[in-house]
Amino acid sequence: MNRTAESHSSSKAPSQTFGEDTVVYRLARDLSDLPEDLVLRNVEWGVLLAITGEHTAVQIGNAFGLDERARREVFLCLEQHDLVEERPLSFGEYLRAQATIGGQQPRSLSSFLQAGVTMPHSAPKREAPESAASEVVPDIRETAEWQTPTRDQLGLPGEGLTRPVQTRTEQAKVTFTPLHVPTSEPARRLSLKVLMRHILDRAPDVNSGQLDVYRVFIRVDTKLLKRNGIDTLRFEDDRLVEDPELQQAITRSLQRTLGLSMPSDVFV
Amino acid sequence: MRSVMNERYAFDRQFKLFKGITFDYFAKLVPEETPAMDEPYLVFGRPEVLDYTSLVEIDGECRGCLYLTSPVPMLEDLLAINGEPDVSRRTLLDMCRELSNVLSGNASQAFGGHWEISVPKTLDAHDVEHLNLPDSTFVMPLRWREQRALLVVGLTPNNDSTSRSRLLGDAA
Repeated sequence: MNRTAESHSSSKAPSQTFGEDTVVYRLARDLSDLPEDLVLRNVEWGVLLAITGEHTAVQIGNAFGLDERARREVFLCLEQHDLVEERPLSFGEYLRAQATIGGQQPRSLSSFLQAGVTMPHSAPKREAPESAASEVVPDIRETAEWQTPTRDQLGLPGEGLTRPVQTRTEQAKVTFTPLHVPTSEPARRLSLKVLMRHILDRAPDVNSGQLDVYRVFIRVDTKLLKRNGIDTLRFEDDRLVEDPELQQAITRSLQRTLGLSMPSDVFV
Repeated sequence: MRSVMNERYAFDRQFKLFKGITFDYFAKLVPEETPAMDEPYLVFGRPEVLDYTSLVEIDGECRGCLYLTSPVPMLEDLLAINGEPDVSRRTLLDMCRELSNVLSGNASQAFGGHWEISVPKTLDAHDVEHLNLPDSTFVMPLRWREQRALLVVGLTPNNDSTSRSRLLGDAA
């Protein structure tokens, strides 16, 4: 046992999940109600004052630059002094808490969810001192109101997983529907050069064609043009418009000004 | 639709005439140094203006303005050609005023008919800053004696409510 735990061995036993990465602690008593003879290390005071009940142990530990061992020491100390307690998490909160673990390896949503709702068989369980066994804070995941969701309910694959974590009955009704992934059609780009060529070709002469182009753009909001980086337009310029709003504005003006529909070949 | 096209191309013919006689003005000044026109282009937002600007408003099938904006060296050349050795803000404005009259006369000659042509305005760069010019302009660069002036038309459709506001601001 580490130094801090030893030093407080006579205090309350820790919960079975103390120091776990995804545990969210809250203050077990008001800070104004602390015993006057309480003494803690600076880092323990710091962590205690940082606890809001909204951050996981690992988030707080990271904020203080603590490695895993040091973080567990600090939270063990605070638990033994009955200063903090584990806050029960809803299913969604537990998944979000899981997201705070700083794994560096990218993983799939399925893999993430598996990690969030399962716990390896080999996860070490801390044994509380016998003398304090009756005071062990029960693991909320092992109380009667927790129930193991079926793999079908969670939409998880059937193999390769270890013991599923129990979750609240009502929250186990959460179902995972397939994610909607929109078909990714590439955005159509409107070629102003092709459009201007169409307008110039149908005019009786070049001058009239150029003025027709100008007429079309008179009705297009200049803010919209400038937003798309179009401050000037030369007739030989090939500018590709991706902004659907600008494409629609040009299309409307083409119809209203010259009575033309947007030719299909202007889109590239 | 036919009447709309007729009106549109009537404007085009008038505008082409206006452009031609304005270029002719420079061509007649020094016959051996005819002006050239570069490829026109469109400008969105604040229109291009140079040192001095001659401007007329037009109102008919559409509303807007025509202006010729020139750099000081071009006006100095014009002053010299007209026998004016003194170059000052006053004489430069005088020369610009002369161009304004030419512009107005050309617009009246080219458009006439149902178009209303305003009294010409003569403006320096500071005056132009106070103008409420059209947001979209059609710019025709005029190159003469290695100088570059701009002949510009700025229109707003008459059925567009924003065009009902006066074209020129307080400075005019």
